[in-house]
Parts: sequence; C-alpha cells; structure tokens
Amino acid sequence: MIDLIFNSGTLAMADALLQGGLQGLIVSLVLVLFTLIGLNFSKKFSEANEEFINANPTTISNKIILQISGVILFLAVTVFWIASFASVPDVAEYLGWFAVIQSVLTTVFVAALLYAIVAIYFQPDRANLKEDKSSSVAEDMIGLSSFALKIPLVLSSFISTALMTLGAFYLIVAFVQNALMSIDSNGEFFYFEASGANVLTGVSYFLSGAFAPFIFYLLFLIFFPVYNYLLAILHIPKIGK
Amino acid sequence: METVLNKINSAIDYGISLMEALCSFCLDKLTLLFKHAFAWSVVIGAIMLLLLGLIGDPYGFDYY
Repeated sequence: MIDLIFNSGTLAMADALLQGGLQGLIVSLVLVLFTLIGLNFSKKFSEANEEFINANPTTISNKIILQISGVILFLAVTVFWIASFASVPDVAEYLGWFAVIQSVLTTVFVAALLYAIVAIYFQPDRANLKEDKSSSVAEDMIGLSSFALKIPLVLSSFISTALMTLGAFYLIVAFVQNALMSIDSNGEFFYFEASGANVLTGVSYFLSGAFAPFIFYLLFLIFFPVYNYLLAILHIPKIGK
Repeated sequence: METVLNKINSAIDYGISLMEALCSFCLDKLTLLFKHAFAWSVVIGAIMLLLLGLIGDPYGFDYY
C-alpha cells in the first residue's frame, strides 16, 4: 500500500515536472528546495553517524567469515558487470547507441561503487568491529548481524554523494534526450522512449542521496538497540568477575 | 601432491589479496572523487531539474 502511494506520488510528480512551462518550473523549484533541505539535514546527520559508529563497538572472534563474505560479494559484483556488458549488443539493437553509452557508464560507476562497499568487509575496523579472541559465539553473531546496519552508516556520506552523482547523470541524460526531441519535433532522427523513466530514476536517486544519511541514522536508531539489549544480557554473567 | 595443493592455496590467497586491494583502491579513489564531485553533482542536478521543468517532455510523460 505504502509502495503504491509512493509510486503514484513519484509518477504524479514526474508527470507534473514534465508538463513543462510554469507548472514544470514550480515543481522543479520545489524539488530543488527539498534537495537543499535534505542536504542540510544530511550534513548534520553525517557527523552524528560517525559518533554512532564510535560509540557502538562490536567484537568478533575471527574475521575470516567477513573476508569470505567479501570474496563472495566481490564475485557477485564481477558477475553483475560482466552480465551487463554482455547485454550491450541487445541494448544497442533495441534501444540505440544513446542507451548503450548510458548503460556502460552506469555499469562502470555502479560496479566501482559496489567494489568500494565490499572493501568494508575486508576492513571491518572501519565499522568499529574489532577482532577479540575472547568474543563468545553470541557476541560474534551480534557483531556479524549488526555489521549490515553499520555499513550504510560508515559510508553514509559516500553513498549519499554516489546517489546524487548517479541522479545528476540520469537527469543530464533525460535533459539531452528531451532537448534533442524538442529540436527534432517530427521525431525523424531522435525519439527516446525512456526519457520519462530517466527523469523518474534521476529524481529518485537525487532525492534519495540528499536524504540518505538522515535515513541511515533513523534505521540505525530503530534497529541497533536490539543488539545493545542482547549485548547487555550477555554482559550480566561477567559482572563482578 | 601436497606441494601442488599448497601452491594452489597460495594462488587463491594471492587472488583474495588482489580482490582486497582492488576494493580498497575503489573505496579510496571514489572517496577522493566524491569530495570534489559533491558540490558539482548538487549544482548540475539542480540545474538539470530546473531545465527539465522548463522544457518538459515534448511527447508527454511516459514512464515506459
């Protein structure tokens, strides 16, 4: 239901934006204003996210599980970009050269981004997950399961900028497509079916990037206390020893 | 035979260390790039939004 409302809202917003003229200008001004507000929030929350990570250390008895997870994720990312490049001939045949350039640039960027995120699995210290030989199995479990929550927090500014860059790229592509179609009004040389989808994707990434650190903060705040309670229970037998 | 297995293990370990190095390289370089690209992304994205709002879609909006 929420998904339906969100999708309808986003579609309605993109529809209003692409009407052009005064209506389109007003919608775009509102979106820019939202982005700037999001960035203001995010700047403040980025510092709070760093403090959260420093204040919530977790332990693991051996880092090998993270290293193996990193290798598996590395291989998955490699399969992703190889599969994307393998589909380039089909994209060229059905969607044209413009879509090929867009697809290749997006794939390279996203692959580099995913490799960068996988790097945290090889350097868990960045997420304040320390190796401690005295860590119990339960503490290991908490350390591992909370790691997924810590990654977005550690990389909040990084992911935010990445999403905004990707969003700006999609908006440039959509603008170029629309500008070319406006010039060639008969649709003789330029007709891009996906320009609406590019606007929608670009706006979604751009706004998500602007609010990302704030959203990651909230997610951590809601879900991490569960691990704090579990760690507190595990520390009870150690009191007084 | 054990020597062969040891060599294979060493090769796999070397592969894993290369993976680690590549991932760290991507993280370091992208972090550096994003430091410079952040303001540009915001400005370019905002300008594109305004321009898209002004010119609209010449064929009407179609998600597909």
